[in-house]
Amino acid sequence: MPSPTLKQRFDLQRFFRGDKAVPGPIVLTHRLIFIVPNKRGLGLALLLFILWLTSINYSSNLGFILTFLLVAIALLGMLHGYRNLAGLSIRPKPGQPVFAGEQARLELAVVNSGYLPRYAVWCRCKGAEPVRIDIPAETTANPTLGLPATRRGWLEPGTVRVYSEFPLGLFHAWSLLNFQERVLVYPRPAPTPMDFPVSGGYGRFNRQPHSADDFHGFQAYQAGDPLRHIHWKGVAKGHDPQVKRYAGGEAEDLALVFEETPGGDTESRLSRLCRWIVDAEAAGLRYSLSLPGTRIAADCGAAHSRLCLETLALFQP
Amino acid sequence: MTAIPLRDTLTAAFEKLLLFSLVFVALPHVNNLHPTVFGFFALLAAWRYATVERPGLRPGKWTLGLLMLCAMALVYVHYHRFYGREGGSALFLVGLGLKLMEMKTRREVYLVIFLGFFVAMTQYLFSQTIPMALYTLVAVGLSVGVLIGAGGGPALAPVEAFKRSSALVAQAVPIMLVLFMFSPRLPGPLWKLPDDERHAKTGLSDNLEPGSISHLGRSAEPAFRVDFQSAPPPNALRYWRGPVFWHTNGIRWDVAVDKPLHRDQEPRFSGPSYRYAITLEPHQRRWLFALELPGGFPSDVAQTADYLLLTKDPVHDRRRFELVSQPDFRTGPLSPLERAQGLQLPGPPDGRVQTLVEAWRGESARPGDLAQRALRYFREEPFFYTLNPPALEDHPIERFLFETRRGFCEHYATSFVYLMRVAGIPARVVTGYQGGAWNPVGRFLEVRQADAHAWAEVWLPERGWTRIDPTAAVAPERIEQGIDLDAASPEGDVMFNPVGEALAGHAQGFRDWVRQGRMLWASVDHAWNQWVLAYDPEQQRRFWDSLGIVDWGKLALWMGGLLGLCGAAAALLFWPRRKLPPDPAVLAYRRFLGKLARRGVVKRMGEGPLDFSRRAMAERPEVSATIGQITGIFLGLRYGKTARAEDLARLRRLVREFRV
Repeated sequence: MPSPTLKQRFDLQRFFRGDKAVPGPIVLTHRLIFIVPNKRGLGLALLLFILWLTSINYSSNLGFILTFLLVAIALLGMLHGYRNLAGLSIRPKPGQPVFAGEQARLELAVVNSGYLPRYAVWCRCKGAEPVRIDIPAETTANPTLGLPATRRGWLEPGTVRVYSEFPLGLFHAWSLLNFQERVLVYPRPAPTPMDFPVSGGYGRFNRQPHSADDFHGFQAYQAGDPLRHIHWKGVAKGHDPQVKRYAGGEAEDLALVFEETPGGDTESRLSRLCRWIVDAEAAGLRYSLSLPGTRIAADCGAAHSRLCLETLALFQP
Repeated sequence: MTAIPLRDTLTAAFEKLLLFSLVFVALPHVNNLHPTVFGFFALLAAWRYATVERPGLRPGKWTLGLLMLCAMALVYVHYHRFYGREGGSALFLVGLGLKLMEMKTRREVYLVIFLGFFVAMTQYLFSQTIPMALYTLVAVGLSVGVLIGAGGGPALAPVEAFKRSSALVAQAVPIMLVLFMFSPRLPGPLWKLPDDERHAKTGLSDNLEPGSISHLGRSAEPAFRVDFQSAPPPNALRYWRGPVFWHTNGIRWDVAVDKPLHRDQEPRFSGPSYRYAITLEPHQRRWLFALELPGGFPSDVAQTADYLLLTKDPVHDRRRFELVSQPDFRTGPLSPLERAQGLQLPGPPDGRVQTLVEAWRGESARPGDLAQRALRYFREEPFFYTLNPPALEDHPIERFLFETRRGFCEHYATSFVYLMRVAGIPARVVTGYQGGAWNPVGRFLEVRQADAHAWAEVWLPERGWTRIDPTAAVAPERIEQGIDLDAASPEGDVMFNPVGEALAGHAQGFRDWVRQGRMLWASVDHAWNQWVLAYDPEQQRRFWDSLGIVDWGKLALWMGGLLGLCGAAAALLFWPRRKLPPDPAVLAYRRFLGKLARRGVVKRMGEGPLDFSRRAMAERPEVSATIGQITGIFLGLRYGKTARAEDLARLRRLVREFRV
């Protein structure tokens, strides 16, 4: 991270939204940590003022000693509060795509490479419950922030706020972090199951996915092949995993076409398509996807379904 | 904002510690407040302790209200007010107990701890000794420990919290000292409550009633301490002059003179002079004690015609005065008013006194000879010096002179002055202190309440006012050596210290140990008084002058510089290194890669740990098991769900023992 210029450093934005988003881990330093007294801190300040006045009034030097001792402790508490955050290295882990309506999860790796344990460090995203972590010395904590994923498309977690009031609870020390990490949100699958479309029209799709006569042979397992097609007996015998291949004409593949999908507006059609993809994948069917301007050839397996869902998620009508 | 419940803030262990620390903070009030007030607080704290595990026992709203009424009544019954030193302290103490009972949220936990700090403050209105100061440090350490516990939550063990709080207190002390010395002082008081007039303790009073006291307290409390610029005067010259008594009704002697006497002529001094500083304990009076006879004193101190030094306001706080005295002096002629006052008698004297004085007059008419004759009378007749004289209700002087003949300085001084006045010689009673113990450790003279003394002054034409100490005629040791408090028996029989300070060492064994310990403590106490408790705006100014602080700029420079130094020392501990070491697992893994690289097995750019380990295993089959283990643990630490500390330790050990 290049050193910011003075103007950038005193940009008011930094206090509310943090710096520009960066990809990698962010190490909390004095540039990123802000500290102000909280309500209890201000309460103590008031109390100290009263103690000071009382000491003056009764010319009590021991009173002054108590007052100044507490002042010194509070000031040092600020420094210790800074130390509770300073040096933590925070990076996001790649986020798993979710369906709209679910909770997206932003998992962080908070590395404490120092020799001091950190206590009561909170991480929070806007709209998410704060998560508290205590990080022993030289370990990593993995808080997971739940983010409500309401709309399909890229979900930016926004500013991650890392804050702590440890040790004295009198100062609020915080840091605002912006990561480039984002989570893809698939469309919300339609709530009720519905029959698959028949090519060229709407009707019941009756074809059994794989009957014995369709069996075509074995093929080496590749990432994304449906699990139910794996030749498990072979795996049990110690062979490399193989996948059973079935013969089948293109015409019999399930064709998912945006224009032919029931539902009024774009979103409900995408939602319907999403549901079909999930169901078809569960049933082990091969399916193709057509959207205005995009066509994905028929296939099956995790990689295929992810491609299809991503296309749906990022579809711009 | 919703209130954060107690259990989310304090664990049960910390709640108990909180109660313990508050009781600890309040404990010194056992000495200061009425037992029932402290008992009430202790009861509430114990009640709260019982509710830690069983919240059902907590009082409801009505019980709490009732408790509050009880508390108010308790304070009012004992102190009749809710403000001032005692009433206020009591109110805060019971208030703390009540707040404790209703502590339910995070906010209230902090409030209770802050209130505890305030209760600690109220104790300094009663005591400001060194033990109290040390006690404060411990009390603050405990409270801050609980504060840290409240912030740290369940992951923080009490031991860890108190380790951190003691470190915090230790780091805070230097900063506190800088603030104490350099933060500007305002002269108090800012407000005054009717209760704040402090109660006089032991000390001299403004009247004398020799017959009424049948037992003289022998308090070891210091009255004042004296730092001499050169050698101190011998014990026989250590007369510390205080109030002078002129008027008597036959029983009681009073300072009060109708009009302040004015002096026609200043005393003429000769002989050596003594420069010294006297640190006076608060005695709630305006007068000030000085070695006879003071010639030089601060400008805000006035001197009466009978040479008593008076301050503008009663001495409520320990104060230090710089004085100059010369023991050898002659006062001027007697004014008519002074003569009248000096010869005042309550009525015609008793026949026995008249006869006695007439007989002395027959021997010599000169006043000086008459005074000596009276002293010889005390010496030759069976008079005894005792601190436990019989009480004398009526005609105390006559009864003392002819019947009981047992008494201490007040009896001798007053009856001597009476005899002189009957003989027509102007005389007056002077009270003050006589003697004082030299502290060889701190090199100062300590004068204690037990050194209080009364003597006589007669006016002789050739010398003016002349000191005559009739007690010395009966018990010369009293004057030469002073009372040995350590040896005095509880019954009041006084033993004088015949060996003085010369023989501090072998002969007396344990008693000398005690004496030396006491001396050491007294000198520490004196230093504490002088440097800490007497550090008032005036002394602060003097200290600043010695550092060359003359304006705000210089002050800011000093204060900023010293605080910066403290801060820098603290910050040095925390400053993050520019390049923070990465994840310790990565560090260990890098060492592992380094070891392999030295044998020619170098990880390629973009090659993942798993791929690299396969290649390395193939190239170094003899250590393939270890390579696999290390890679496995590293991947677990780096990318696994949870990282465990023991895995890291295992990784480090394997890497350390890894040999290619």
